[in-house]
Amino acid sequence: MRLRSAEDLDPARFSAYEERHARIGVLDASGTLVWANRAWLAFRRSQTRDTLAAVAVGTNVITFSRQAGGTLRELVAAGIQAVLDRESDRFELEFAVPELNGSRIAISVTPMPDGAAGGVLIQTERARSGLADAQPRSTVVGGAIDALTPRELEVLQLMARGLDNAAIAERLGVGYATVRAHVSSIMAKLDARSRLAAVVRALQRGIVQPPTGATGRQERDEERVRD
Amino acid sequence: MTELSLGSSRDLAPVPAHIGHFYSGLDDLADQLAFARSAIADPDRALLLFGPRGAADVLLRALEAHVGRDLATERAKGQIVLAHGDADPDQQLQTVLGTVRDLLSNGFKQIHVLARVGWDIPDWPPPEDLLWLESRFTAAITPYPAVLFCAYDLTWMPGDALIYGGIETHPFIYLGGQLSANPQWVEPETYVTSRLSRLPWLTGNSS
Repeated sequence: MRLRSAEDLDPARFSAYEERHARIGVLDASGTLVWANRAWLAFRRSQTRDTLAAVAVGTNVITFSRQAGGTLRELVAAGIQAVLDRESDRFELEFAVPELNGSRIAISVTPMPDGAAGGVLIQTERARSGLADAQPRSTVVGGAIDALTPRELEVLQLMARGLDNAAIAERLGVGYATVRAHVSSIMAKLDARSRLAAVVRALQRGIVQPPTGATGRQERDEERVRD
Repeated sequence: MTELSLGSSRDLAPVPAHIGHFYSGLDDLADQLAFARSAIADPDRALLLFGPRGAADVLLRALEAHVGRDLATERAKGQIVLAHGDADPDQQLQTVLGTVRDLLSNGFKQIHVLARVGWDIPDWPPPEDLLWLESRFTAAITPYPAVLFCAYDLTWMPGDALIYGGIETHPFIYLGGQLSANPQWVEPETYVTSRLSRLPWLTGNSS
C-alpha cells in the first residue's frame, strides 16, 4: 500500500502535530510532499530539492523516545509500533496510518556519529516488504538542525556554495553585519571551529545540499562584491 | 586586456589576476620585491602589503633594503599601505577589497597586492577557512584593476597548504621568474564541494 495523494489523507489526523517543534511531513511514494507541519515547511523552504522520499519526524522524536515517557506514549498513540534501542545502529520506527487502510510506514533513524542527540531521519514505506529491506535514501536532518532558524539555513546553503558574507547579504537583501552574525551563530550551533567546518558538517548531515556546478557558475556571474 | 609587468621578468600578468607564488624563505624574496617595486615605480600604481600580523612590516623593511632608501614618503602619500588579517576569513576578504577600493578612489589606477600567506598560526583563519578565502579572492578581485600576488613559503608550509592552497586556488602560478597559467586551478564554484568538503581533517570530524 502506498500513499497516493493528499486526498488519501485526513488532515485532522495530523493536525495534532501542526505546531510541534519536530518536523513532521508525509510524502507519497513518488516523493511528493502531501502533508507537512509548519516546522517541516520551514525546513523544506531552506532545501533545494523539491522532494525527499521520506516520511519524516524530527529529531525530537528520538530524544523523546529515550527520555520523555509521556511523549513516547503520545507517539505510541500515534501509531508507533517499534522503537529499537538507542545503542543500535539505527532506530526503526513503524507507523500505522489508519487513513491509508492500515498500511504501515517504516522509518529508519540513524543516530549522529558524534553521539549528539538527534539523528538522521530517512526512509519511507517498504512496510509491506518489511523493515529489513529498508535502506536509507537520503539524509535529512542532524542533531543541530532544530536549533537553526530558517534564515540561518538559508545562509548556510549559500555558504555551502562558497559565497562570502557580502554576496550572501546581497542575495538575501540584508546587511553585511546581519549575515556575519548569522554565520557566527551557525558555527556555534554546529559546534564548528571554522566557517568551512560548519559547511562540511551541514553537508555531511544533509542539512544543506551540495550545489550543482551550473548553479555555482550562475551565482558567480551574479555575485557582486560589497561596495 | 590590460596587462601588468610583474617586475622580475618579461612576463605580463593580466589585470585583474590572482597569482600563486612559491619561494624559499627570507633569502628568496627577489620576485616579491620586484613585484612590489614595480608598483611604487609608477605613480599611478599603489601597493598593499598584507599578511599575518607583522608580516607587512617585514616586507616593507625588505623592500626598503631592496630599493636602498626609506619609503616613508610613499607611505605618507598613501601609495604603500600595510594591513594585516585576523582569524575571520571573511573579514580578511573585506579588508583587502576595502583597501583596494580605497586606493582606487584615491586616484591610483592599478593596485599590486603582495600577500604573505600564513598557515595554521594564531590570529589567522584555520587552514580550511584560509583555503576558502583564497578561492574567493579569484572572483572577488575580478571587478578591480588589481593583481593579487600570494606568496607561499616552501621552507615551512605543509603539503596541504601548497597543494590545496598555493596550487589549486590560483589561476596563475609564478615560479622561478616565470608566470604560467595554472592547469591545476580548481574553479571557485566547485572548489568548496569538490575539494574543501573532502579535506581529510574535516571529514574525520576533527573540527
